[in-house]
Amino acid sequence: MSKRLLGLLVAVSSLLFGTTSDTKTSQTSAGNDLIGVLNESASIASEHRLNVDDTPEFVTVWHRQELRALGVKDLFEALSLVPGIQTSVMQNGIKKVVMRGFNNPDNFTFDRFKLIVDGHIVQTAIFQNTGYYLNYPIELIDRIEVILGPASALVTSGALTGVIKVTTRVRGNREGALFARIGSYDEIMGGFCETYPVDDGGSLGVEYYYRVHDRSLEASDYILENSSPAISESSEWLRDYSFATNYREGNFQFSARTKRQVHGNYFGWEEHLEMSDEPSMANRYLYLQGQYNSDIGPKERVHVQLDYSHYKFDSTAQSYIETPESAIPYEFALYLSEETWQLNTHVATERFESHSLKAGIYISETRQIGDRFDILYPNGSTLNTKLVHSGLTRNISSLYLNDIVALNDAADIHLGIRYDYMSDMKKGYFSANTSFLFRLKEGLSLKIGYGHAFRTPSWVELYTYPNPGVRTGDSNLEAEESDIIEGSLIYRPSLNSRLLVNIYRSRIRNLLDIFENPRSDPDAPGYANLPSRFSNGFELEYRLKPTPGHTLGAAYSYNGTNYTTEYGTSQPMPGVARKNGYVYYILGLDASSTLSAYLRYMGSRTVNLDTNRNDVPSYTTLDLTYSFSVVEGAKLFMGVKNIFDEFVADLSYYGRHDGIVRPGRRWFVTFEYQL
Amino acid sequence: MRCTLFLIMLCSSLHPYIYNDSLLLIYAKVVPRIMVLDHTQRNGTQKRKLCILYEKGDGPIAVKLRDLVRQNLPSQVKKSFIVDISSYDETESKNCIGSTALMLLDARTEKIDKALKLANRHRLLTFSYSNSLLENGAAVSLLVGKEIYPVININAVKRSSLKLDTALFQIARIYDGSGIR
Repeated sequence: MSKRLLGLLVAVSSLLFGTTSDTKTSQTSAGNDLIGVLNESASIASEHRLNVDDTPEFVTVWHRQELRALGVKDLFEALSLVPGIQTSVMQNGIKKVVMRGFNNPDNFTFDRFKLIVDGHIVQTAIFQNTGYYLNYPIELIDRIEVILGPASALVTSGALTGVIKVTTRVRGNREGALFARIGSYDEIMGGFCETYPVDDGGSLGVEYYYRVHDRSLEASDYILENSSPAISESSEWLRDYSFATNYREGNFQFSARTKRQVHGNYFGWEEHLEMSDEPSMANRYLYLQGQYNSDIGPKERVHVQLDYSHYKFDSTAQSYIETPESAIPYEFALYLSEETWQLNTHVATERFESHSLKAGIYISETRQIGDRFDILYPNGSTLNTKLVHSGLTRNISSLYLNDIVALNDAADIHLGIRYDYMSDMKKGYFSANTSFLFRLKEGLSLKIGYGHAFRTPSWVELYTYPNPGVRTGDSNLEAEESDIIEGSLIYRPSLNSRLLVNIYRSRIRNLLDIFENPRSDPDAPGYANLPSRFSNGFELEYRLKPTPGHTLGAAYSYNGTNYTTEYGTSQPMPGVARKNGYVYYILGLDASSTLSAYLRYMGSRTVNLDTNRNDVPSYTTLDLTYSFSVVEGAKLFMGVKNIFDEFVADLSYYGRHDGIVRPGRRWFVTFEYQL
Repeated sequence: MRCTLFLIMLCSSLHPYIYNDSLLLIYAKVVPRIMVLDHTQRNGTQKRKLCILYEKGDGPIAVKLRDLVRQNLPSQVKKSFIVDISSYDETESKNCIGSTALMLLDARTEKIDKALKLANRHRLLTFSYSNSLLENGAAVSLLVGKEIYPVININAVKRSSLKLDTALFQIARIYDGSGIR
């Protein structure tokens, strides 16, 4: 009883005399709470890449909202907005992304960058190509991050010229949407994404889209003399879908995604139209991913990630290369598949003052599953063989260390180092990334960086058998290695404008490319390590938001990459424009509708001088996109691309034509409803 | 013709608005906590009330922000905090009556100005999604860099006679009309 009375007295006296003190305590507590939330928000900003100008890394980030307002339809179109990237389509429909001029104009298409989708490294060994992922629709993307420059210190072999990281909505902001699109060439697309709560605080995200079109472009110039195909247009039809799911509960996350793309062979593998539009190229990539993140100490966090992926390539095609005199093509079919396991685990710690340290281990195994190469000659004879050697595996064992050091308020350093042992090369490789951020004064920052990366050859480059119509591999090839020195100045003169200037010089040594000299000897290797190639240039990027809603953006890139062939020819890099750039403006007509204009210039692109062809001409295209709210939560986007119907072409692989013609004026209407 | 078309678009003075979901989440977490540090005495207001103002086409954004604010309220004010939305055209509607703060989503300048006048008249704390609205007279915005700072427009605070906690001034950076210090 006496204790209760004492308690009551304390409470009453607190109420009567302790108010000021309690208020102060409450205010201090509110101040601390705010500091805690600001720190937490800084982590959110960092995770969602809202503050890349204030980190030492060289990263360009695009978020869906702006891309959508500009009428961008997919990842491929979005990448052309990154200064330093040039995109093109090859004669057989493979999409190509060239970073800072390091094209392989004569090569089939081996990526020199690494694609990461929702934390999954798209890892294949046979072609090392990810072009089939590039038509992923913008409606499902949360953000795109691009690192230009050697980055294998972050993601192992392959990131020779950069990394493209895609975060989807189902993994990013987990917002639901339903969308549909129609457009030129009978384009139809539809899809949705949504996240549902499940028992025990978990959530299940689901995503799906399906896209078709029946595009064909006039291509009578691509008919081989004396041949009589049933078509006179390119075969660019597309059937494409992806289905993904993400389940998360507490520290655990499971994701699965399958993507399949099938399309016609465009202008034919040899740039001669096939007899019909039936032959096709199909790529299917499936991955499963489990992730576990947990605090293991007051300032330590562990991340464990296990990925399984299965890649399948099926292609049928017709080629005249072995039978040009008969003008009747032989048919060939390729069926290739492989699977990869990846284990990536790291511990991140902030135990050491001013350091944000991450140390990890990466192990992967890629195993060949299927390989069939069938040829049917016009006379009825067949050849059933394999494209590459049998029983191929590639194991990678890596150790890596990353540290971001805050030296003081004015300077940060990023240090990244990695060692990868590649089993099939029987060799280890070091990669490194070092960059400094100096905050020179309010609104002015300088970044300086050095990077070193490597790419081991694909299985096609290493192990292709001598067979009709293909280049023989060379198992003695070395990895190609790149170095870069770059600087970046970021100037923010006011709250609403930003100017970025990047300057770089980079080199690839032991460069992997085709080797034509011994072509008279079919058994001689068709690939070789060639002398170094150099690239230098600069990129300017300006953005102004004069008043809320108005956005003006502009970018200009200059790239001078040299191209030295095995013949000793030295010339500007074929297929790469020295100058390119764009200007866009987004404005509104009233509170619920917007209009954007996107003006893009692509300078002329040199061809391989050995082909005696004209340069691929420069072009300037203008895209207009109008969007308005139909009802609350529903938006309609209507756009016209290349409104003035400019002639657009990409580099001809064989130099048989003045360019691979691309579509002119086209329209689209997209409906999106926020779930 | 191309140049003309482009010039017409450049000369237009109307507005589209683009929002980033992560930045909305950050505002949703930070804004109520700054409101807790606002000690301005206002007539007839007992509870803290945030009114989110939006242009008509941005209704879903306002709803999303409102829901995020509700989900992320600090525990000490959870029961005594009201958050509502209103279009700029209905700034003085019942949804905004009794507000202690306004969150300004992007809008045309004249609508922003009208909302800021209302805020000044009733001594309301104003937050802006775009920090360029500090130049128009908004009181607080967020500066996103390596760290995240509230930016206080000292002129707006003085003009509306707002009483903000000293703890906030220790955390925040100050905008004085010419730049951020």
